[in-house]
Amino acid sequence: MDAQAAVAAGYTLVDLGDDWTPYILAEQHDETGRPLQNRYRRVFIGLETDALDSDGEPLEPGEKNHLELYGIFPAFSVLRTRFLEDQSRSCVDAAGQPALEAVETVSYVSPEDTRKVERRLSHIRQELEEARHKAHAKTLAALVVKRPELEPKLKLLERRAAEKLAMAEVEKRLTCEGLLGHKKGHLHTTGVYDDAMRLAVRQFQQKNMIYEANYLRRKTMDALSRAMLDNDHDALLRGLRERVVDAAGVVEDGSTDGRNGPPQYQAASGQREMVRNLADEYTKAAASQMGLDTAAGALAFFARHRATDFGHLRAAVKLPGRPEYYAPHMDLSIVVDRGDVWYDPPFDENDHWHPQPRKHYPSLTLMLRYRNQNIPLARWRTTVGGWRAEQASNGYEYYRYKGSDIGPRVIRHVTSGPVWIAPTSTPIRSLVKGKIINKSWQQIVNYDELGPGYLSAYGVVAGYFVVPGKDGRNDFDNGIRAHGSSDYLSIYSQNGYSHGCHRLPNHLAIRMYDFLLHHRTVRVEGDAPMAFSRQFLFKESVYEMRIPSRGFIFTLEPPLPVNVLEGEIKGNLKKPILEYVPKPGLRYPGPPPPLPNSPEARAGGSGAASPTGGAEESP
Amino acid sequence: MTSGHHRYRLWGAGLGAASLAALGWALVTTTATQAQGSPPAPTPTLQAGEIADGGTLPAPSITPAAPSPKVRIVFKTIPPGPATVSWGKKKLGFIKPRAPLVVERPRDSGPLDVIVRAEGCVPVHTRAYTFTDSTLLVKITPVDKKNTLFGYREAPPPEEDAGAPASGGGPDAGASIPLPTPR
Repeated sequence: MDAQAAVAAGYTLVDLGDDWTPYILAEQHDETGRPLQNRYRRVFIGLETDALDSDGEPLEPGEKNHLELYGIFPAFSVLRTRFLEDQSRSCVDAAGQPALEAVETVSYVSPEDTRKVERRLSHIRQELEEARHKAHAKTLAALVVKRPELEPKLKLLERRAAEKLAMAEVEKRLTCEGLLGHKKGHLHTTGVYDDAMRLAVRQFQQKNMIYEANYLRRKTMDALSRAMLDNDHDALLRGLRERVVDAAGVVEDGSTDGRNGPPQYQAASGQREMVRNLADEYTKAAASQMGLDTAAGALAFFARHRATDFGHLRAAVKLPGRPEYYAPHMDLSIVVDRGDVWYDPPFDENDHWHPQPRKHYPSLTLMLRYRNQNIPLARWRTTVGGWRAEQASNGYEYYRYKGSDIGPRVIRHVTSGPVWIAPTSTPIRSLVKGKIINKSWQQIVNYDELGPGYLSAYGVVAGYFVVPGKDGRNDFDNGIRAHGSSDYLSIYSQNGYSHGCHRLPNHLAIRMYDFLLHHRTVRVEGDAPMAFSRQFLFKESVYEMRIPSRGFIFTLEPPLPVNVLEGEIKGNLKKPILEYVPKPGLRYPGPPPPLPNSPEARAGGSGAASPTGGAEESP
Repeated sequence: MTSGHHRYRLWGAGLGAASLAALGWALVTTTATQAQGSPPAPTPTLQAGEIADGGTLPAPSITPAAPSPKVRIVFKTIPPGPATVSWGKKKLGFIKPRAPLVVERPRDSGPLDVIVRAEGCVPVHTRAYTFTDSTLLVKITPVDKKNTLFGYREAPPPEEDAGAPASGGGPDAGASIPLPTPR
């Protein structure tokens, strides 16, 4: 019996193997059957299986990648290890659980401010005690009945006391989970949100795919109060979802649902049909058929399979039929709505900063034209350009408005494992990082930023927006792409902007381009080798970036239509400023130099800070 | 792209299609590597294998000769001169004016981040890849020519001048410059 028989019987093969990658990174062959090498595939698989680091070098023994938050889901053998290890430890302390559940968040206090804040709380406590004594109240609660103006102070004390207890439980949990206390060079001081704690929380968020700033906020606290196996089970379902969606070639995930439910379309029969949430529907069906729909079932599944089983394991599952609009070549397009747009600089001529609130955030919608209807299949938050720091040719940083072009475009090329060639305007400080190289700390070029990689400016996959060339001319490329990104806070935060590109979390960018490549006619071009190198001076050393390839290229034939809507222009300026603007508080040797203008300069790396201090939200 | 014409076998017992239907699902393993991403669809056929001319690529028929397990990386400097190449704690060797340094590394073993140092010159941090044999020509810059390198920063004017109005009353360094008018 072979798999084709299973397929013939109406089954879908879901790849559970450790060498699974999404379609954009799958093994491809040219027209003669010769393999086409995708340089990033090996690294991607190494990251999924905890075998390699982001540079493609072997991971230290016992190290874990925890990259779900960045779109790289753990391989099933990695999940198997988690389940088997965690079955004997829940890391939930029943006695401490009420303390965790008593707070929604834990206020961030920087290590430098810890003592100051404690002194302040101590003063408040003293003040309230004196007031209680004076008012002849038996308790502080009785005091605020008599003097309601003191209630906020009492509430602050109570909240901080509860947070202190919760913080102690968080420390216990992260230690039990092996995330706190084992990192060299980051010693943790009990009760303090120091670097060790920050790194442990970040690891925890990455492991559990929690899109929150790096602090103890609601979703993070919720996950910290759950048993390890329950979190493992969620991780399994998330990983399974990507594999099922990839195997079934679907994208609908309920993200287009509105207040009145899912959008509708008229089927060939004349009936009104709703756009289904196929990602959920199919994942549930697959999990249920494989007995993975409960943590206990999943544990039993992993217990009966050896790690080596996951070398090339596949499952044949029966999924409900796809909607009638599915076809080999679908009339798809992308619509980007820029939402509320501010052209004004966020500071005035006196260097005073001004907030630029937005009610409508940018979105990217994947549309289908079917039977004269426009059907939205998926809609996700994305980014548009804004004010960004940029290094001018005189070596100084300025602000520059890097907007997102409006109007019709096309995507002709999709690149997996794309490389961003940092333009000379990139702040140099973001192009260097420290790393342990062969047992010694060394400064190297920050290839994380350049790619290929999940952290790079283009993420794991990018589609290039161009205006098609007419009469044999080349396409016009103004550097705008819709691409994956690890900078999720720039996508989901109130003050997040890009350099003009439309960012999606890596896993959604992967889903979208996987879907497009499945349902459009595609020519596989393969690796695009190049021999780019550039030197730059940083402090007392020269750094040389060497880029051997642009990535692995697919060509859509015909190209995919894209339309970028202007959105609503807020503020005084109705057109963007097209010159450098000096950064507030900085001294410059003279007037700003002229602007560079290369397509790559539009993408920008995450290291190029936004005027409001980067994408990191303050707590 | 390929369509998967490879054979699978059922994981566990050799079940037939009828048994599959009864079970609801089954695990299968490949006996040959299947090109990924061309999975069969539950309803209409996925056309992942379709290419521009509408055809479908044949299954891989060419077995390329296995590449050697090691790659050869040649280090040279421009201008030619003596230099040392180190990789973390390890000194990989010396580049001599007429004898480049040749290093062998396992193929696809990840990049090699090295520092090239020549006397009187700014050290160069560069990277060699292990995808294939390669030659690295590393440009070396004397310390006294540092100002020719990209990223070199001219010092700002002395503090006492900063903010002072320039002749004609225009803003000087450090003074806030009026925002340019939009175009």
